[in-house]
Order: sequence, then structure tokens, then C-alpha cells
Amino acid sequence: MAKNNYRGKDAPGGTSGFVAIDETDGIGDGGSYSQPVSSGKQNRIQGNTMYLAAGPVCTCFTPVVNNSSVTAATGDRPWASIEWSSVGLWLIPMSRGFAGVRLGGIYNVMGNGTNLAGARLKVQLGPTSQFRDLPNTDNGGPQYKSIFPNPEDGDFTIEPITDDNGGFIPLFIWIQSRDDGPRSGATVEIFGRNWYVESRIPTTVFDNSTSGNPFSADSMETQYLRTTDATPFIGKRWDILHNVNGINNEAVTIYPADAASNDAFDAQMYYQSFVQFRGLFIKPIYQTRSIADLPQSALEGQLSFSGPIAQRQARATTRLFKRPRLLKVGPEGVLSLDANFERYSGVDYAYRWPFVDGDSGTITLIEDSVFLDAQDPIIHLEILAIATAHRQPLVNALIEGTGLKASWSAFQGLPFQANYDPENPGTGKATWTLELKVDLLDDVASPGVATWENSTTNLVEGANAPDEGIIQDVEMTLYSAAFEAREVYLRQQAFMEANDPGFTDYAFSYKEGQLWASDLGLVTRIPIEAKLDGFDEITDRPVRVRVDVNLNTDFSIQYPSAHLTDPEFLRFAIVGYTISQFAVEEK
Amino acid sequence: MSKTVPLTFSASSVQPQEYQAFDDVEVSDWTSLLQAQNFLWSRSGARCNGRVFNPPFQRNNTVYGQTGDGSQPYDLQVWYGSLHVQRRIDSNQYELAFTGYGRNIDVRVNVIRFNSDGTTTALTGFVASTSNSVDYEWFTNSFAYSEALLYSSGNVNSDLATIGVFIEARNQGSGTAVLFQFAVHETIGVAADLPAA
Repeated sequence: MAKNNYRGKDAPGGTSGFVAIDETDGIGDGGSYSQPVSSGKQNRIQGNTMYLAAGPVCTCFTPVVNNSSVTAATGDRPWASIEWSSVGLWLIPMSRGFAGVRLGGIYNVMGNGTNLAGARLKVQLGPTSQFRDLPNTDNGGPQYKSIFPNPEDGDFTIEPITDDNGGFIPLFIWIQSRDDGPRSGATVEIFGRNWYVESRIPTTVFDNSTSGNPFSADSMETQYLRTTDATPFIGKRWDILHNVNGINNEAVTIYPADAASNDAFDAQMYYQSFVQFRGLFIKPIYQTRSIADLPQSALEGQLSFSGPIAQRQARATTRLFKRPRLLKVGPEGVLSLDANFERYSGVDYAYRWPFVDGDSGTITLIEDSVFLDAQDPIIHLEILAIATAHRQPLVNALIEGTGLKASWSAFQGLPFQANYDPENPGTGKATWTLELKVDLLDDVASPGVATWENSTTNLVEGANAPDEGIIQDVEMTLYSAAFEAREVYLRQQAFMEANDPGFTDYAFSYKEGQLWASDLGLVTRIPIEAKLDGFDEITDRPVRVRVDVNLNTDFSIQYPSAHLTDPEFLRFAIVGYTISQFAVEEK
Repeated sequence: MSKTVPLTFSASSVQPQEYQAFDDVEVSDWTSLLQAQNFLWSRSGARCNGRVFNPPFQRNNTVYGQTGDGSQPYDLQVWYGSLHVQRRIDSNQYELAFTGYGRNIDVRVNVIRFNSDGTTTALTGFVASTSNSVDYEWFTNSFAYSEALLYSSGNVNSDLATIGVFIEARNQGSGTAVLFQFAVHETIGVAADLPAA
């Protein structure tokens, strides 16, 4: 059906569209006072207010990918988990009338088994959770398809907000893979401890190269385990987080980490669908009536009420200017080719979470291109971050100094390392320094300058346009990155650190970049903002918003005997952020 | 026809309690209200943001491609944006733009329509070019699309289509092509773009 009718939500722009009014047409006679304004003009102004109130803006999450062809999914790192795990964690600003978000974008879902399975999408907006199916896309035509061919399917709504400044609301996007059929012959026996499998799993690989077809049939990151034994019970499922390549090709670690017994039981490897996203756009939805609060009766031919009506329309327009605007969500991911993140060299796929280690000095973790749409705006970032301290790997601790390399079988039956309490993984405090800068490239630059930081950069005019940046120290709990941890994030970090020192295996966690619900307790919210006084001429050029992070010298660890206490083993990682603009002043 | 898009927002000069019932409105108050709305309109629209390349993306090849030649580890294929168009300009069109900063470079913006039947249609792309090979500068270009093109299968009676965008670049012929920063977005409107009806 046609959707570009006056109130149709799916017309570009959300309503009938904006119609400019001639400033000299029928409003004034050139004198000090107007002729009475026609109800038609007042209706048109009100229509424009409603159009603007509908929020005709959107921004886009652009995770790092490796291919621009719609017919190939090669090289785009997938999300896959048989339990719910995150795609994006964002805090987005609300104001009067905010009623949700419209999501859309481009995706691919496929699998290495039957390749018939789709996936599930959960959008958690504040207290509400809403679900959608993501059909398998490997059904002819281009590999990549629109997530919501019917745009309204991408609407996720809440009760409209009534405050002009409604704070921030969590927008958490989760995915869940679907079963894609058993892997032939891949039955295994699980035994030992509750967080790893030492068994006869077929030789597996992490498909770390972006050059091949997406994920060979052996790719462990697109498989999961399901029990076939009555112990603990049939059908229980685990995600696979890691396999210890180079030491024992048969050992993997699993999630959830159950409080399972040491009894052996049988399981089967299954394929699961995986999801790849390219652009994922976010458009706020507003209930226009609560913003442009003008009763229809005021517009129905009561010409002489034009003065009071104009007051209300002016108030609504100013309110729209002051409305916070979501400019950007991230992080988009980083490459190991990037000198700042080359620690895990050899992995072609992007890491989703930029990080800084305690000995790395200052690293730029956010560097974005955004437009500003108000004079003297406030740039506000809501950063979600996790800080960790790495523990001595258990086996490494046992054989430290012996020069021996241990098989994971050495773990079997051993207790947790002393002083580790899975109920309380926090183990110390560290202060991290964040510096926010906003700048604009100069249009009159010196030739031959090859780097950003030289004279090609002119900062935005004005006092706060921050040559020095906005500096903020944040004290954060350090959580133990440990194989024994119950939180996936802490286990991921332990795997990724395991080759340094001790294990020389391939240190990668398949699920890096995905959080599970139990990980949310580890996340620290860091708001940081800069007021750009002097940004008084809004340009048609994007500025750069940049956040640098480094470890302050101030940190403490509760159990230094169990932890690697060099700053090298402290880490700050960003797992989600948003950049918003607040226009608090008008001139 | 007199229409104005101011460069900054100014709240309408209409003051609270300025008018009582039966009062007409001063011309200047109406004008300021119209211009305030025009400003908000000009800054609306979909934005795919883009990227910052630090160090800059460089390319020596004079054929369009996405692979860089400098020390920048992120080639152009790492970025793929999507959007629903949001803001109509005059003549019932919607306009996408590229804005970048660099020198000696042509950037081609590829625009893909994702139809609701699972097919795709490559819409006409456009090229933005720096003016010379020596000085760094901001450069931009845009392309207007008729409304129907932005609906699934080019039919306004169908669903609004998801639009995908990606970029390629080439060296203009000598020296090194350089790109520091870019954004793909609906145009920032000017007075001539304001829809008249």
C-alpha cells in the first residue's frame, strides 16, 4: 500500500514532508504588523512542526567488514551463539515524545550444516524486550538482504517520554543462532571440569582469514555442543568459546560454565547459524503530539487566535532545536593490522572491542566523523567499558620457571587457584584517564603534510575547542580475567592473554565482541562531554570526535600473588558507546 | 519567493505571553519562526557518518578500487553504510552527498537499493573530487534521486527501501591520492532545496 500519505509513518521523513513558506507570501504586508494569518498558513507551519517533531534523522552503526559485494559474505566477521549474546550495547538520549527506535540495515544469515536456519534478534529498549526472526538469506539472489523489508517491522517502541530531557535509555541488541543440524560423526565425550572439554572433538579451526569463504565446515566458532547423554540431561547446549590450538587440538572451552560434576557424558557437535551485519541504522521514533502540542481546533479557521498559536509553535520549534541528537554508535571494531591493536597479529578479522593495556601508553579508542548541528553544542559520550586484570594461568603458575609446556589435561580435576572467588571477580581498582577532543580539519592546509596531527589540523575555534581536550579520570573495578570465571567476558580475556606468558597457542576467543547477559554486571558507564564554546558557525563539514585512554599510575590489586601485576596485564576495553549532541543555547 | 535557511539556529522572536487572543502577529515574529524551522529542516536527514583515517588512506592506482597503498591499515571496504532516506528536497527528490577531506583523489559513491523481494538494484552513483593534487581541502558532491527510486523495486506503492552505500577511490593521475576523513549523508539543505509544495 502507498505509505506517503499525510500521516503515513513510512514516507521518507515520517510525515507529509516539509513545505517551505514564502516569508512574504500572505503573512506580512511589509509593515510592522501582519494581516491576520490565514488558517492555511498556520496549518502549514504546524505541519512543518510535526514533520520536524517526527525526527527525520538517523545514524548508522558500521561494523568493520571486508567486502562490499552484496553477493558474497566473505570476510565479514560473524556473530554466532546458541545462547543470547550482544551485537550492540548503547545508551541513547531521550527527550519529550521519544517513543522508541526504528532499526534497519543489511544482514546475512547462513550456516555450515543444513544452511536452512535463520536466527533470532532481540531488541532490549529500556525495560522492554522485543523479538524478531532473521530468516536465512542463502535462498537465492544476493547474499545480503534488508533486515526489515517492511520498515515497520523494525520499529521497537516504548511509552512516550514526557520530560524535555529524559536522560538515556539502554538500547541493547542481541542475537541468538538457531540449530543448523548435527555435524556428522562429531560425537564427543565431555568430562573433567565444568568450563572446558578435554575430549575427542574433531580437528577444528578458527577461520581467522578474511580471504576464504565464510567459515569452513570445520570452523568451531559456528558450532555448539549438545548432550546426547542423560547426564546431566539430554539436550543441554553449550557455546564454544575457544580451542587450544597448538597444545591440544581436541580441547575446547564452553559456556555456560555449569556447576557440573566431573562425570563424563556424551555430546554431539552441532552447527549453528551465524549472522553478519553491514550497516545497521538507528532512527529515533517520536510521538509528535506531545512535542507540538497544538490542538487541531486551534487551526480550524480561528484566524484571530494567530498570536497565541504562534507562541506555541515557536516554543515547540525551540524545543526541537534543544532536543538531543544521536550522532554515532560504536565501536565498529579494530584490525590487528592496526599498530595500536597488533597484539593478536595473524587474525585478519576485526576485533570488535578496542582496548588499551596498562603499559601501552595513550591509545585512541574512539575516532569518529560526525556532523554538528547546533552552535555552541555539548558533545556528550556515553561509554560502556570493562577493566580487567589478568591472573596467572593456573597451569602456568604450576609450572612457572620449569620451561615446560603443559597440556590442558593438566587442568583436569585441579581446584581453582587459591584466592579466586567466582562470586566476586573484582580484584582491585585502577584509574584510567580519558581525554576527549573535538576538532575540524583546516581547509587551507600545508601541502605535503602526511599525518593528521601536523598542521593539517586546525581545532575548532573557541576556548574549549579543545587543544588540551577534556580530561576525565575514572576509577574502575578490575575484574579477574580468568579461565575459571563465570562471566564469558572474563574468560574471553583470559584466552586472549593466555599466550603471554605461558601458552604459545593461538590466543583468540571466538566470541570476542559478544557479551552475555551475565557480563553486564562488569560494565562501567562513563559519561564524558565537552562544551564547544565558540563553535558559532555551523559548517557543512564533519568534525572529528576522538577519545584517548591510558592507565593512570594509580592502581591496586587485591591478590598480587595470583595476578600478573605488571601494568601490561591491566586492560580497559570499550564494549559500547554513543555520541550525542545537546543544544542547550540558542542565539 | 523569499525563503531563508540561516547558518545558525535563532529561536523565534515570538515571546511567551507576547500576544493575547485576537492579536495579530508581527511580521518579524513570523519570519523568525519560519527561519527557525527552515534551519532545523536543513540539518535533518540520514547520516552514515563515515570514517576518520589516521594516518590517511592513500592510493596510487588511477583505477577505482578500495585497497590503500599507505600505512593506513583500514582500506575502504571496511566501511559499508545503510539508511532510509529521511528528508525530501524540492522537486520531490532526495539527495545523498559525500563530504571528504583530502587531495588528488576521486571518490566514487556506490548506492545500492535493497528491495523487499531480496533482490538489489544498483542506483546511479556519483563521484566527488578534490580540485587539485597539492593542497588538502574539503570536497563534496551530491546526487538527487527521485522518490520512486528509493522505494522497493522503484515503486512508491511498495515499502521504503533500505539503501546501502560504499565507496571506492582512485588517484587523479599524479602524486599520491589522500583521504583523511569522510561522511556519506543526506545533503545539508540550502534555501534552494526547500520544498515549495
